[in-house]
Amino acid sequence: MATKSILKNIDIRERRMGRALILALEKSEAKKGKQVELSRICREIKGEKIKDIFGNI
Amino acid sequence: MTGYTLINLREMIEHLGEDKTKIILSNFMCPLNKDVDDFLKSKSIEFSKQGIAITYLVFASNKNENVLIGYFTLATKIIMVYRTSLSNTLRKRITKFAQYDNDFKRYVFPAPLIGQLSKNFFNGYDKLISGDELLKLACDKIKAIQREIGGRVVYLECEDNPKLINFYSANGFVQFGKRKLDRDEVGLMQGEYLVQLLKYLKP
Repeated sequence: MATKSILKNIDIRERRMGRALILALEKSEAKKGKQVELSRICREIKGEKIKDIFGNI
Repeated sequence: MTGYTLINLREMIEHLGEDKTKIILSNFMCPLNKDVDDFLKSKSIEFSKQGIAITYLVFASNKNENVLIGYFTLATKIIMVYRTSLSNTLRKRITKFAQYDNDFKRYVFPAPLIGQLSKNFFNGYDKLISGDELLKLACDKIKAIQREIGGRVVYLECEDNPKLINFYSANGFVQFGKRKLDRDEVGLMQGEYLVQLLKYLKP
C-alpha cells in the first residue's frame, strides 16, 4: 500500500504485461477465494449519528 | 455501539469538524508501514476533501469506548490496455472485461484501487479485527458501489513481502505486475517495487 499508488495511472503498453493482466483477470474470475465471515455485524453510520457517537470528543 | 461501525472520513469531517476528526485519527499507529501511518494522519483529510481518495474508518466498542481499529482508502482507477500490447487472441479474451476505445486504440475498464488498508496497532486495537475482515469490508464497499455504477474488478499494490502476497492471494487476488517505487517512496516501504494485484468481484 502506498500513497503514490492513488496518484498513478495504470497503463499497460508492453505485451508481457498485457498477457499477464488478462491471465490474472481470468484466473481471479475462476478463483474461489476464502469465504470470510465477519465476527461482528458491520453497519455504516452517517450524518447526525456520527455526532451522537463522537460529539463529546 | 456494538459490532463494527464504518464511517466515511468526509462525513466525519462534515459533522464533527476537522479538529475533532484529527484527534480521532491521532490514535492510530501502524509500525509495519510508515506510509500507511503518514497517510491517515497527514493526507487522508485533504484527499477526502478534494475527492482524490475516500477513506473509511472502522470502529469497534472496547471497554465501553468507541475505538478506531482500522481504515481503508479507496480511489477511482481505470486500467488502460493498449491494443498493441495484445495478440489477436488476447484482444478477443479481454472484451469480456473491457471496452475498446477506438480513438485511443486501447481497452479500458474501471478497477477501483484499495489505496491503503491497515489495522490500528495502537493499544492492541489490531486484535479487535482480522486482516481478512478488514479486506472484506473494503471489497464489500467496492461491490456496493459497483452495483450502482458498474465494474467488476478491484486493484491494489503491496510490498513484495511473501506474507502480504499470501494474504491477498488467499483472499482471491492475483498478481499481474510490478511497479517500481518512485525515488521519494524509497525508504517508506520495503524493496524497490510494489506488486500489482487484482481481484474479480463476483456479483
